[in-house]
Amino acid sequence: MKRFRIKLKFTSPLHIGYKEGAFNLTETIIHSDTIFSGIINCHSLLYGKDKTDNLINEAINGNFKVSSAFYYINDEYLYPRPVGMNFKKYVDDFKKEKKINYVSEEILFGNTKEAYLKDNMLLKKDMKKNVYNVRERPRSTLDRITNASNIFYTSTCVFNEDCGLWFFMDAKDYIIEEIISSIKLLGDEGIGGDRTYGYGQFEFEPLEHYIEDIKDKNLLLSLCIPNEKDKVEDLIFYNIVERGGYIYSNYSKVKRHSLFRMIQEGSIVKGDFKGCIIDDTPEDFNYHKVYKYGRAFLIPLDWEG
Amino acid sequence: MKFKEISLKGKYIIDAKIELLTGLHVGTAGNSLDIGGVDNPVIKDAMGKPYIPGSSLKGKLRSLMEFYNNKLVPNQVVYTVEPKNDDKENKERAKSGIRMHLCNDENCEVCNLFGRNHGNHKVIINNNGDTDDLNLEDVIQPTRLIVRDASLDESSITKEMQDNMDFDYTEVKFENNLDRITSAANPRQTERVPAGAKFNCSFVINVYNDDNDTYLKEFLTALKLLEDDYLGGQGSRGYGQVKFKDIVIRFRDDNYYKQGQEDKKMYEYKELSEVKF
Repeated sequence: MKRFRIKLKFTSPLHIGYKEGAFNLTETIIHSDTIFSGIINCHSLLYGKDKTDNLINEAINGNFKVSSAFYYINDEYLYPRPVGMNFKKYVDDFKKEKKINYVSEEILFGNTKEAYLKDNMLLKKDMKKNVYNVRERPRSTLDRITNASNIFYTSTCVFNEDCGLWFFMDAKDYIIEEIISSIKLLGDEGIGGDRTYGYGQFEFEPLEHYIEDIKDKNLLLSLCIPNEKDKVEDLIFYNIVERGGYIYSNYSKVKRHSLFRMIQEGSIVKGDFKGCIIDDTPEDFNYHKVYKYGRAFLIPLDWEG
Repeated sequence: MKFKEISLKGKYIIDAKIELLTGLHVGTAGNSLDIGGVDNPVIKDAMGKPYIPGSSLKGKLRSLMEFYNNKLVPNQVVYTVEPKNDDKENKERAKSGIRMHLCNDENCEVCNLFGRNHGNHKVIINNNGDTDDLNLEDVIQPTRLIVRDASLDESSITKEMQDNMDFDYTEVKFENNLDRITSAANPRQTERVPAGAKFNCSFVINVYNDDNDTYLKEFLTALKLLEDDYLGGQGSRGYGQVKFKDIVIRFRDDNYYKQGQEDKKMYEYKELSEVKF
Protein backbone atom coordinates (compact mmCIF):
# COMPACT_ATOMS: atom_id res chain seq x y z
CA MET A 1 0.00 0.00 0.00
CA LYS A 2 1.31 3.41 -0.92
CA ARG A 3 0.03 6.81 0.06
CA PHE A 4 0.21 9.81 -2.23
CA ARG A 5 -0.51 13.42 -1.52
CA ILE A 6 -1.94 14.76 -4.74
CA LYS A 7 -1.58 18.46 -5.28
CA LEU A 8 -4.04 19.93 -7.74
CA LYS A 9 -3.06 23.13 -9.48
CA PHE A 10 -6.14 24.49 -11.16
CA THR A 11 -5.66 26.01 -14.58
CA SER A 12 -9.26 27.16 -14.90
CA PRO A 13 -12.10 28.17 -12.58
CA LEU A 14 -13.89 25.50 -10.57
CA HIS A 15 -17.61 25.06 -10.03
CA ILE A 16 -18.79 22.56 -7.41
CA GLY A 17 -22.51 22.97 -6.90
CA TYR A 18 -24.07 21.83 -3.66
CA LYS A 19 -27.60 23.14 -3.76
CA GLU A 20 -30.11 22.10 -6.31
CA GLY A 21 -31.04 24.67 -8.93
CA ALA A 22 -28.67 27.27 -7.52
CA PHE A 23 -25.88 27.79 -10.05
CA ASN A 24 -24.75 30.90 -8.26
CA LEU A 25 -23.42 28.91 -5.31
CA THR A 26 -20.21 26.99 -5.38
CA GLU A 27 -18.26 24.96 -2.89
CA THR A 28 -14.56 25.72 -2.59
CA ILE A 29 -13.34 22.29 -1.51
CA ILE A 30 -14.08 18.96 -3.18
CA HIS A 31 -15.57 16.10 -1.18
CA SER A 32 -14.23 12.56 -1.39
CA ASP A 33 -17.30 11.14 -3.16
CA THR A 34 -16.87 13.65 -6.01
CA ILE A 35 -13.17 12.85 -6.38
CA PHE A 36 -13.82 9.11 -6.36
CA SER A 37 -16.56 9.46 -8.94
CA GLY A 38 -14.32 11.59 -11.17
CA ILE A 39 -11.51 9.05 -11.06
CA ILE A 40 -13.82 6.10 -11.71
CA ASN A 41 -15.53 7.78 -14.67
CA CYS A 42 -12.21 8.65 -16.28
CA HIS A 43 -10.93 5.16 -15.61
CA SER A 44 -13.88 3.70 -17.45
CA LEU A 45 -13.23 5.97 -20.45
CA LEU A 46 -9.60 4.87 -20.61
CA TYR A 47 -9.76 1.20 -19.69
CA GLY A 48 -13.30 0.06 -20.35
CA LYS A 49 -16.15 -1.20 -18.19
CA ASP A 50 -14.69 -4.54 -17.05
CA LYS A 51 -11.45 -3.10 -15.73
CA THR A 52 -13.37 -0.36 -13.94
CA ASP A 53 -15.58 -2.93 -12.23
CA ASN A 54 -12.33 -4.50 -10.99
CA LEU A 55 -11.10 -1.17 -9.64
CA ILE A 56 -14.36 -0.62 -7.78
CA ASN A 57 -13.99 -4.08 -6.24
CA GLU A 58 -10.49 -3.12 -5.11
CA ALA A 59 -11.97 0.01 -3.53
CA ILE A 60 -14.69 -2.00 -1.80
CA ASN A 61 -11.97 -4.30 -0.41
CA GLY A 62 -10.08 -1.29 0.87
CA ASN A 63 -7.18 -1.40 -1.59
CA PHE A 64 -7.91 2.04 -2.99
CA LYS A 65 -9.24 5.03 -1.12
CA VAL A 66 -9.23 8.79 -1.37
CA SER A 67 -9.76 11.66 1.04
CA SER A 68 -11.54 14.93 0.39
CA ALA A 69 -9.54 17.80 -1.09
CA PHE A 70 -8.54 20.76 1.08
CA TYR A 71 -6.59 23.94 0.46
CA TYR A 72 -2.86 24.34 0.18
CA ILE A 73 -0.78 27.50 0.06
CA ASN A 74 2.65 26.87 -1.44
CA ASP A 75 3.87 23.97 0.70
CA GLU A 76 1.55 24.58 3.63
CA TYR A 77 -1.27 22.06 3.72
CA LEU A 78 -4.55 22.66 5.49
CA TYR A 79 -6.67 20.06 7.25
CA PRO A 80 -10.28 20.31 8.34
CA ARG A 81 -10.54 21.50 11.90
CA PRO A 82 -10.95 18.52 14.22
CA VAL A 83 -14.39 18.82 15.74
CA GLY A 84 -14.20 19.95 19.34
CA MET A 85 -10.48 20.70 19.32
CA ASN A 86 -9.44 23.84 21.10
CA PHE A 87 -7.24 26.48 19.45
CA LYS A 88 -7.53 29.18 22.09
CA LYS A 89 -3.80 29.37 22.64
CA TYR A 90 -3.30 30.63 19.09
CA VAL A 91 -5.98 33.28 18.96
CA ASP A 92 -6.86 35.86 21.58
CA ASP A 93 -10.58 35.91 21.15
CA PHE A 94 -13.00 33.00 21.49
CA LYS A 95 -15.24 34.53 18.84
CA LYS A 96 -12.39 34.34 16.40
CA GLU A 97 -11.55 30.87 17.57
CA LYS A 98 -14.92 29.44 16.69
CA LYS A 99 -14.61 30.71 13.12
CA ILE A 100 -11.71 28.37 12.40
CA ASN A 101 -12.63 25.68 9.89
CA TYR A 102 -9.25 24.73 8.47
CA VAL A 103 -5.98 24.27 10.27
CA SER A 104 -2.45 24.12 8.93
CA GLU A 105 -0.63 20.80 9.09
CA GLU A 106 2.24 22.37 11.04
CA ILE A 107 -0.10 23.53 13.76
CA LEU A 108 -1.97 20.25 13.98
CA PHE A 109 1.00 17.88 13.91
CA GLY A 110 4.09 20.04 14.31
CA ASN A 111 5.11 22.23 17.21
CA THR A 112 4.60 25.68 15.81
CA LYS A 113 3.90 28.22 18.51
CA GLU A 114 2.66 31.11 16.43
CA ALA A 115 -0.31 31.10 14.14
CA TYR A 116 -2.24 33.57 12.10
CA LEU A 117 -5.92 33.62 11.39
CA LYS A 118 -6.95 34.30 7.82
CA ASP A 119 -10.72 34.16 7.26
CA ASN A 120 -11.57 30.68 8.50
CA MET A 121 -8.06 29.26 8.20
CA LEU A 122 -5.44 29.01 10.90
CA LEU A 123 -2.10 29.40 9.13
CA LYS A 124 1.57 29.16 10.00
CA LYS A 125 2.54 32.20 7.97
CA ASP A 126 0.77 35.48 7.71
CA MET A 127 -0.89 35.76 4.36
CA LYS A 128 -2.11 38.95 2.74
CA LYS A 129 -3.90 37.73 -0.35
CA ASN A 130 -6.90 35.45 -0.46
CA VAL A 131 -6.48 31.75 -1.06
CA TYR A 132 -9.41 31.76 -3.45
CA ASN A 133 -11.96 34.13 -4.90
CA VAL A 134 -15.53 33.23 -5.65
CA ARG A 135 -16.73 35.14 -8.64
CA GLU A 136 -20.29 35.39 -9.82
CA ARG A 137 -20.99 36.27 -13.37
CA PRO A 138 -24.09 36.65 -15.50
CA ARG A 139 -24.67 34.35 -18.43
CA SER A 140 -27.47 34.19 -20.89
CA THR A 141 -29.15 31.91 -23.38
CA LEU A 142 -30.44 33.46 -26.57
CA ASP A 143 -33.49 32.41 -28.48
CA ARG A 144 -32.34 31.27 -31.91
CA ILE A 145 -35.11 33.07 -33.73
CA THR A 146 -36.01 36.20 -31.83
CA ASN A 147 -32.71 36.71 -29.95
CA ALA A 148 -34.73 37.05 -26.74
CA SER A 149 -32.44 36.43 -23.79
CA ASN A 150 -32.68 34.53 -20.55
CA ILE A 151 -30.20 35.66 -17.96
CA PHE A 152 -28.82 33.50 -15.16
CA TYR A 153 -25.89 33.69 -12.79
CA THR A 154 -23.11 31.21 -12.17
CA SER A 155 -20.38 31.24 -9.56
CA THR A 156 -16.92 29.86 -9.89
CA CYS A 157 -14.03 29.52 -7.52
CA VAL A 158 -10.68 30.80 -8.77
CA PHE A 159 -7.57 29.91 -6.79
CA ASN A 160 -4.80 32.37 -6.31
CA GLU A 161 -1.29 31.74 -7.58
CA ASP A 162 0.45 28.97 -5.61
CA CYS A 163 -2.86 27.99 -4.00
CA GLY A 164 -5.09 25.06 -4.79
CA LEU A 165 -6.43 21.82 -3.37
CA TRP A 166 -4.74 18.63 -2.24
CA PHE A 167 -5.98 15.18 -1.29
CA PHE A 168 -4.60 11.89 -0.02
CA MET A 169 -4.84 8.69 -2.03
CA ASP A 170 -4.02 5.20 -0.81
CA ALA A 171 -3.60 2.40 -3.31
CA LYS A 172 -1.98 -1.00 -3.71
CA ASP A 173 1.08 -0.97 -5.96
CA TYR A 174 -0.47 -2.86 -8.87
CA ILE A 175 -3.29 -0.36 -9.44
CA ILE A 176 -1.41 2.89 -8.87
CA GLU A 177 -0.41 3.34 -12.50
CA GLU A 178 -4.00 3.01 -13.72
CA ILE A 179 -5.23 5.48 -11.13
CA ILE A 180 -2.57 8.09 -11.89
CA SER A 181 -3.41 7.83 -15.60
CA SER A 182 -7.09 8.34 -14.75
CA ILE A 183 -6.31 11.41 -12.66
CA LYS A 184 -4.26 12.76 -15.56
CA LEU A 185 -7.27 12.36 -17.83
CA LEU A 186 -9.51 13.89 -15.16
CA GLY A 187 -7.28 16.95 -15.21
CA ASP A 188 -7.97 17.38 -18.92
CA GLU A 189 -11.68 16.53 -18.63
CA GLY A 190 -12.24 18.71 -15.59
CA ILE A 191 -13.90 18.07 -12.24
CA GLY A 192 -17.15 19.58 -11.05
CA GLY A 193 -19.70 21.42 -13.13
CA ASP A 194 -19.70 23.30 -16.45
CA ARG A 195 -16.81 21.23 -17.72
CA THR A 196 -17.58 21.85 -21.38
CA TYR A 197 -16.74 25.50 -20.77
CA GLY A 198 -13.32 24.39 -19.62
CA TYR A 199 -14.02 24.60 -15.89
CA GLY A 200 -12.39 22.41 -13.26
CA GLN A 201 -9.20 21.55 -15.15
CA PHE A 202 -5.99 20.99 -13.30
CA GLU A 203 -2.40 19.88 -13.41
CA PHE A 204 -1.24 17.68 -10.59
CA GLU A 205 1.75 16.40 -8.75
CA PRO A 206 1.67 13.10 -6.84
CA LEU A 207 4.00 13.27 -3.84
CA GLU A 208 4.68 10.06 -2.00
CA HIS A 209 3.74 10.29 1.65
CA TYR A 210 4.47 8.00 4.59
CA ILE A 211 1.63 5.99 6.09
CA GLU A 212 1.09 6.18 9.82
CA ASP A 213 -0.83 3.44 11.55
CA ILE A 214 -4.13 4.56 12.92
CA LYS A 215 -4.27 4.91 16.67
CA ASP A 216 -6.82 5.36 19.37
CA LYS A 217 -8.02 8.72 18.15
CA ASN A 218 -8.18 9.45 14.46
CA LEU A 219 -9.12 12.37 12.29
CA LEU A 220 -11.53 11.68 9.45
CA LEU A 221 -10.45 13.24 6.15
CA SER A 222 -13.29 12.04 3.93
CA LEU A 223 -17.04 11.82 4.03
CA CYS A 224 -18.07 8.54 5.58
CA ILE A 225 -21.05 6.22 5.72
CA PRO A 226 -20.58 3.68 8.56
CA ASN A 227 -20.92 0.01 7.61
CA GLU A 228 -22.75 -2.64 9.66
CA LYS A 229 -19.69 -3.55 11.73
CA ASP A 230 -18.67 0.00 12.61
CA LYS A 231 -19.78 0.91 16.09
CA VAL A 232 -21.56 4.20 16.58
CA GLU A 233 -19.90 4.47 20.02
CA ASP A 234 -16.59 4.87 18.19
CA LEU A 235 -17.63 8.29 16.99
CA ILE A 236 -16.16 10.64 19.58
CA PHE A 237 -16.87 14.03 18.03
CA TYR A 238 -18.67 14.30 14.75
CA ASN A 239 -20.76 16.39 12.39
CA ILE A 240 -23.30 15.08 9.97
CA VAL A 241 -23.85 16.45 6.51
CA GLU A 242 -26.52 15.69 3.93
CA ARG A 243 -25.36 14.72 0.47
CA GLY A 244 -27.73 14.44 -2.45
CA GLY A 245 -26.77 15.28 -5.98
CA TYR A 246 -26.97 13.71 -9.37
CA ILE A 247 -25.49 10.59 -10.88
CA TYR A 248 -22.96 11.29 -13.61
CA SER A 249 -23.18 8.71 -16.33
CA ASN A 250 -22.24 8.62 -19.98
CA TYR A 251 -25.08 6.22 -20.61
CA SER A 252 -28.12 7.58 -18.86
CA LYS A 253 -30.41 10.52 -18.50
CA VAL A 254 -30.02 12.68 -15.43
CA LYS A 255 -30.88 10.66 -12.33
CA ARG A 256 -30.60 11.50 -8.70
CA HIS A 257 -28.56 9.90 -5.99
CA SER A 258 -30.50 8.89 -2.92
CA LEU A 259 -30.15 11.33 -0.06
CA PHE A 260 -27.37 10.26 2.29
CA ARG A 261 -26.47 11.51 5.72
CA MET A 262 -22.74 11.23 5.97
CA ILE A 263 -20.19 11.86 8.68
CA GLN A 264 -18.28 15.00 7.82
CA GLU A 265 -14.57 15.61 7.43
CA GLY A 266 -12.95 16.69 10.67
CA SER A 267 -14.87 14.22 12.81
CA ILE A 268 -12.91 12.24 15.37
CA VAL A 269 -13.30 8.49 15.61
CA LYS A 270 -11.89 5.79 17.83
CA GLY A 271 -9.98 2.86 16.36
CA ASP A 272 -10.40 1.37 12.93
CA PHE A 273 -13.51 2.86 11.45
CA LYS A 274 -14.01 1.49 7.93
CA GLY A 275 -17.07 3.01 6.32
CA CYS A 276 -18.47 1.52 3.16
CA ILE A 277 -19.31 1.97 -0.47
CA ILE A 278 -23.05 1.69 -1.00
CA ASP A 279 -24.67 0.32 -4.14
CA ASP A 280 -27.02 3.14 -5.06
CA THR A 281 -28.18 1.96 -8.49
CA PRO A 282 -31.66 3.36 -9.17
CA GLU A 283 -34.40 0.85 -9.96
CA ASP A 284 -34.82 1.43 -13.68
CA PHE A 285 -31.12 1.82 -14.34
CA ASN A 286 -29.43 -1.14 -15.96
CA TYR A 287 -26.42 0.20 -17.82
CA HIS A 288 -23.96 -0.14 -14.99
CA LYS A 289 -23.84 -0.04 -11.22
CA VAL A 290 -23.91 3.22 -9.33
CA TYR A 291 -22.08 3.59 -6.05
CA LYS A 292 -21.93 6.16 -3.30
CA TYR A 293 -18.43 6.42 -1.92
CA GLY A 294 -18.37 6.50 1.85
CA ARG A 295 -15.14 4.87 2.96
CA ALA A 296 -13.39 6.49 5.86
CA PHE A 297 -9.93 7.96 5.33
CA LEU A 298 -8.30 8.19 8.73
CA ILE A 299 -5.08 9.65 10.00
CA PRO A 300 -3.93 9.41 13.63
CA LEU A 301 -4.32 12.44 15.84
CA ASP A 302 -2.49 12.88 19.13
CA TRP A 303 -4.82 14.87 21.20
CA GLU A 304 -6.05 14.87 24.75
CA GLY A 305 -9.51 16.27 24.97
CA MET B 1 -32.87 1.05 -24.06
CA LYS B 2 -29.65 0.64 -25.96
CA PHE B 3 -26.28 0.10 -24.42
CA LYS B 4 -23.14 0.84 -26.39
CA GLU B 5 -19.96 1.08 -24.44
CA ILE B 6 -18.13 4.36 -24.90
CA SER B 7 -14.37 4.40 -24.94
CA LEU B 8 -12.07 7.35 -25.33
CA LYS B 9 -9.79 7.05 -28.36
CA GLY B 10 -8.06 10.36 -27.80
CA LYS B 11 -8.37 14.10 -27.74
CA TYR B 12 -7.74 16.74 -30.35
CA ILE B 13 -6.26 19.81 -28.72
CA ILE B 14 -6.73 22.91 -30.84
CA ASP B 15 -4.80 26.02 -29.88
CA ALA B 16 -5.25 29.25 -31.77
CA LYS B 17 -5.10 32.98 -31.49
CA ILE B 18 -8.22 35.08 -31.86
CA GLU B 19 -7.41 38.42 -33.39
CA LEU B 20 -9.98 41.17 -33.10
CA LEU B 21 -10.62 42.99 -36.35
CA THR B 22 -13.15 45.29 -34.68
CA GLY B 23 -13.83 46.15 -31.04
CA LEU B 24 -15.28 43.37 -28.88
CA HIS B 25 -17.89 43.75 -26.19
CA VAL B 26 -18.73 40.74 -24.02
CA GLY B 27 -20.87 42.37 -21.40
CA THR B 28 -21.26 41.73 -17.71
CA ALA B 29 -23.11 43.30 -14.85
CA GLY B 30 -21.40 46.32 -13.36
CA ASN B 31 -21.17 45.99 -9.62
CA SER B 32 -20.74 49.63 -8.80
CA LEU B 33 -22.37 52.85 -9.84
CA ASP B 34 -19.47 55.24 -10.20
CA ILE B 35 -20.28 58.77 -11.18
CA GLY B 36 -18.93 59.21 -14.67
CA GLY B 37 -18.32 55.46 -14.92
CA VAL B 38 -19.01 53.29 -17.92
CA ASP B 39 -22.57 52.00 -18.25
CA ASN B 40 -21.74 48.84 -20.13
CA PRO B 41 -18.59 47.19 -18.77
CA VAL B 42 -16.91 44.20 -20.40
CA ILE B 43 -16.16 41.02 -18.51
CA LYS B 44 -12.74 40.88 -16.83
CA ASP B 45 -10.86 38.22 -14.92
CA ALA B 46 -9.42 38.42 -11.42
CA MET B 47 -6.42 40.36 -12.71
CA GLY B 48 -8.63 43.00 -14.32
CA LYS B 49 -7.84 41.83 -17.84
CA PRO B 50 -10.67 41.24 -20.29
CA TYR B 51 -11.16 37.67 -21.50
CA ILE B 52 -13.59 35.74 -23.68
CA PRO B 53 -15.56 33.26 -21.59
CA GLY B 54 -15.73 29.69 -22.89
CA SER B 55 -19.49 29.78 -22.58
CA SER B 56 -19.79 32.78 -24.91
CA LEU B 57 -17.61 31.14 -27.53
CA LYS B 58 -19.30 27.79 -27.27
CA GLY B 59 -22.81 29.22 -27.32
CA LYS B 60 -22.00 31.26 -30.41
CA LEU B 61 -20.44 28.32 -32.25
CA ARG B 62 -23.39 26.13 -31.41
CA SER B 63 -25.98 28.57 -32.57
CA LEU B 64 -24.10 29.12 -35.86
CA MET B 65 -23.92 25.39 -36.48
CA GLU B 66 -27.64 25.03 -35.83
CA PHE B 67 -28.39 27.50 -38.62
CA TYR B 68 -25.72 26.06 -40.92
CA ASN B 69 -26.98 22.49 -40.65
CA ASN B 70 -30.60 23.54 -40.99
CA LYS B 71 -31.52 22.25 -37.55
CA LEU B 72 -34.09 24.85 -36.61
CA VAL B 73 -37.10 23.02 -37.98
CA PRO B 74 -40.16 21.58 -36.23
CA ASN B 75 -39.47 18.37 -34.27
CA GLN B 76 -35.88 19.47 -33.65
CA VAL B 77 -36.38 22.63 -31.61
CA VAL B 78 -36.99 22.63 -27.89
CA TYR B 79 -37.82 25.15 -25.22
CA THR B 80 -34.81 25.45 -22.94
CA VAL B 81 -36.67 27.80 -20.66
CA GLU B 82 -40.28 26.77 -20.39
CA PRO B 83 -42.76 29.52 -21.16
CA LYS B 84 -43.60 31.13 -17.87
CA ASN B 85 -47.29 31.75 -18.15
CA ASP B 86 -49.00 28.56 -19.09
CA ASP B 87 -51.34 30.21 -21.54
CA LYS B 88 -53.75 28.19 -23.55
CA GLU B 89 -52.94 30.20 -26.62
CA ASN B 90 -49.87 28.80 -28.27
CA LYS B 91 -48.86 32.07 -29.83
CA GLU B 92 -48.40 33.58 -26.40
CA ARG B 93 -46.38 30.58 -25.32
CA ALA B 94 -43.92 30.83 -28.14
CA LYS B 95 -43.22 34.42 -27.25
CA SER B 96 -41.93 33.83 -23.78
CA GLY B 97 -39.85 30.63 -24.08
CA ILE B 98 -36.24 30.34 -25.20
CA ARG B 99 -35.90 28.04 -28.16
CA MET B 100 -32.86 26.15 -29.41
CA HIS B 101 -32.00 22.98 -31.26
CA LEU B 102 -31.89 19.65 -29.40
CA CYS B 103 -32.82 16.34 -30.95
CA ASN B 104 -32.75 12.59 -30.53
CA ASP B 105 -31.02 11.86 -33.82
CA GLU B 106 -28.10 9.56 -33.08
CA ASN B 107 -25.95 11.11 -35.82
CA CYS B 108 -26.80 14.76 -35.22
CA GLU B 109 -23.57 16.73 -35.78
CA VAL B 110 -24.61 19.60 -33.56
CA CYS B 111 -25.87 17.66 -30.55
CA ASN B 112 -23.01 15.16 -30.64
CA LEU B 113 -20.36 17.85 -30.76
CA PHE B 114 -21.86 20.45 -28.45
CA GLY B 115 -23.74 18.15 -26.13
CA ARG B 116 -27.27 17.39 -25.09
CA ASN B 117 -29.04 18.37 -21.93
CA HIS B 118 -30.50 15.10 -20.71
CA GLY B 119 -33.29 16.65 -18.71
CA ASN B 120 -36.93 16.82 -19.66
CA HIS B 121 -37.72 18.95 -22.68
CA LYS B 122 -40.68 19.95 -24.75
CA VAL B 123 -40.05 19.69 -28.49
CA ILE B 124 -41.96 22.00 -30.82
CA ILE B 125 -43.80 19.87 -33.38
CA ASN B 126 -45.29 22.41 -35.76
CA ASN B 127 -45.17 26.02 -36.77
CA ASN B 128 -47.97 26.92 -34.38
CA GLY B 129 -45.71 26.13 -31.48
CA ASP B 130 -47.51 22.99 -30.25
CA THR B 131 -45.24 20.88 -28.10
CA ASP B 132 -44.60 17.26 -27.27
CA ASP B 133 -42.27 15.50 -24.82
CA LEU B 134 -38.79 14.71 -26.12
CA ASN B 135 -37.23 11.38 -25.23
CA LEU B 136 -33.43 11.33 -25.26
CA GLU B 137 -32.99 7.93 -23.62
CA ASP B 138 -31.43 6.22 -26.67
CA VAL B 139 -28.97 8.87 -27.79
CA ILE B 140 -27.09 9.63 -24.61
CA GLN B 141 -23.45 10.43 -25.23
CA PRO B 142 -20.88 12.54 -23.45
CA THR B 143 -20.22 16.00 -24.86
CA ARG B 144 -17.28 16.07 -27.21
CA LEU B 145 -16.31 19.72 -27.31
CA ILE B 146 -14.64 21.60 -24.46
CA VAL B 147 -14.11 25.32 -24.96
CA ARG B 148 -11.77 27.07 -22.55
CA ASP B 149 -11.79 30.69 -21.52
CA ALA B 150 -9.65 32.69 -23.93
CA SER B 151 -7.11 34.85 -22.13
CA LEU B 152 -5.79 38.15 -23.40
CA ASP B 153 -2.33 38.22 -24.96
CA GLU B 154 -1.05 41.31 -23.17
CA SER B 155 1.65 42.07 -25.70
CA SER B 156 -0.99 42.59 -28.38
CA ILE B 157 -2.11 45.78 -26.66
CA THR B 158 0.80 48.06 -27.39
CA LYS B 159 2.01 51.09 -25.50
CA GLU B 160 0.81 53.26 -28.33
CA MET B 161 -2.68 51.82 -28.12
CA GLN B 162 -2.73 52.30 -24.37
CA ASP B 163 -1.91 55.99 -24.76
CA ASN B 164 -5.06 56.47 -26.76
CA MET B 165 -7.34 54.40 -24.56
CA ASP B 166 -9.31 55.26 -21.46
CA PHE B 167 -8.37 52.16 -19.47
CA ASP B 168 -5.36 49.84 -19.47
CA TYR B 169 -6.88 47.23 -21.71
CA THR B 170 -10.11 48.70 -22.99
CA GLU B 171 -11.48 51.68 -24.83
CA VAL B 172 -14.75 53.50 -24.22
CA LYS B 173 -16.95 54.18 -27.19
CA PHE B 174 -19.66 56.80 -27.09
CA GLU B 175 -22.83 56.15 -28.96
CA ASN B 176 -25.93 58.15 -29.35
CA ASN B 177 -29.48 57.86 -30.43
CA LEU B 178 -31.49 60.75 -31.68
CA ASP B 179 -35.13 61.53 -31.34
CA ARG B 180 -36.49 61.39 -34.85
CA ILE B 181 -38.52 64.57 -34.47
CA THR B 182 -36.72 66.85 -32.04
CA SER B 183 -33.21 65.46 -32.59
CA ALA B 184 -32.82 65.28 -28.80
CA ALA B 185 -29.74 63.23 -27.99
CA ASN B 186 -29.60 60.24 -25.68
CA PRO B 187 -25.95 59.27 -25.36
CA ARG B 188 -24.59 56.05 -23.93
CA GLN B 189 -21.11 54.61 -23.47
CA THR B 190 -19.87 51.14 -24.14
CA GLU B 191 -16.61 49.67 -22.98
CA ARG B 192 -14.89 47.42 -25.49
CA VAL B 193 -11.65 45.60 -26.14
CA PRO B 194 -9.94 47.45 -29.00
CA ALA B 195 -9.36 46.05 -32.46
CA GLY B 196 -5.94 44.47 -32.75
CA ALA B 197 -6.08 42.75 -29.38
CA LYS B 198 -5.31 39.03 -29.43
CA PHE B 199 -6.64 36.24 -27.24
CA ASN B 200 -5.20 32.77 -26.73
CA CYS B 201 -7.95 30.23 -27.12
CA SER B 202 -7.93 26.50 -26.68
CA PHE B 203 -10.44 23.82 -27.60
CA VAL B 204 -10.61 20.10 -26.93
CA ILE B 205 -12.53 17.59 -29.04
CA ASN B 206 -12.90 14.17 -27.50
CA VAL B 207 -12.75 11.25 -29.93
CA TYR B 208 -14.98 8.36 -28.89
CA ASN B 209 -15.34 4.94 -30.48
CA ASP B 210 -15.26 5.36 -34.29
CA ASP B 211 -15.49 9.15 -34.56
CA ASN B 212 -12.09 9.65 -36.20
CA ASP B 213 -11.94 13.26 -37.38
CA THR B 214 -15.65 13.76 -38.20
CA TYR B 215 -16.19 16.24 -35.41
CA LEU B 216 -12.89 18.01 -35.96
CA LYS B 217 -14.11 18.88 -39.46
CA GLU B 218 -17.46 20.04 -38.11
CA PHE B 219 -15.69 22.18 -35.59
CA LEU B 220 -13.40 23.84 -38.14
CA THR B 221 -16.48 24.67 -40.19
CA ALA B 222 -17.96 26.32 -37.10
CA LEU B 223 -14.83 28.45 -36.69
CA LYS B 224 -15.08 29.55 -40.34
CA LEU B 225 -18.70 30.50 -39.77
CA LEU B 226 -17.72 32.54 -36.74
CA GLU B 227 -15.23 34.57 -38.77
CA ASP B 228 -18.10 35.75 -40.94
CA ASP B 229 -20.33 36.42 -37.97
CA TYR B 230 -19.54 38.17 -34.73
CA LEU B 231 -18.66 37.49 -31.13
CA GLY B 232 -20.14 39.22 -28.11
CA GLY B 233 -22.73 41.96 -28.25
CA GLN B 234 -23.64 44.70 -30.70
CA GLY B 235 -22.46 42.62 -33.66
CA SER B 236 -24.86 44.13 -36.16
CA ARG B 237 -23.25 47.49 -35.44
CA GLY B 238 -19.80 46.27 -36.33
CA TYR B 239 -18.54 44.91 -33.02
CA GLY B 240 -16.87 41.57 -32.56
CA GLN B 241 -15.39 40.63 -35.93
CA VAL B 242 -12.66 38.09 -35.26
CA LYS B 243 -10.05 36.11 -37.14
CA PHE B 244 -8.46 32.85 -36.05
CA LYS B 245 -4.69 32.69 -36.52
CA ASP B 246 -1.79 30.32 -35.87
CA ILE B 247 -3.99 27.27 -35.47
CA VAL B 248 -2.17 24.22 -34.10
CA ILE B 249 -4.00 20.91 -33.85
CA ARG B 250 -2.47 18.18 -31.73
CA PHE B 251 -3.71 14.69 -30.94
CA ARG B 252 -3.43 12.93 -27.61
CA ASP B 253 -4.25 9.25 -27.73
CA ASP B 254 -4.80 7.10 -24.68
CA ASN B 255 -1.07 6.31 -24.41
CA TYR B 256 -0.52 9.93 -23.46
CA TYR B 257 -2.37 9.18 -20.25
CA LYS B 258 -1.36 5.55 -19.77
CA GLN B 259 2.33 5.65 -20.64
CA GLY B 260 3.17 9.33 -20.62
CA GLN B 261 3.85 9.60 -24.35
CA GLU B 262 4.11 12.99 -25.98
CA ASP B 263 1.15 14.20 -28.03
CA LYS B 264 1.45 14.36 -31.81
CA LYS B 265 1.27 17.56 -33.77
CA MET B 266 -1.16 16.81 -36.58
CA TYR B 267 -1.84 20.02 -38.45
CA GLU B 268 -0.62 23.57 -38.38
CA TYR B 269 -2.29 26.47 -40.18
CA LYS B 270 -1.53 30.16 -40.36
CA GLU B 271 -5.18 30.96 -40.85
CA LEU B 272 -8.47 29.16 -41.38
CA SER B 273 -8.56 29.59 -45.16
CA GLU B 274 -5.68 27.11 -45.39
CA VAL B 275 -7.79 24.38 -43.81
CA LYS B 276 -8.81 21.84 -46.41
CA PHE B 277 -10.39 18.57 -45.42
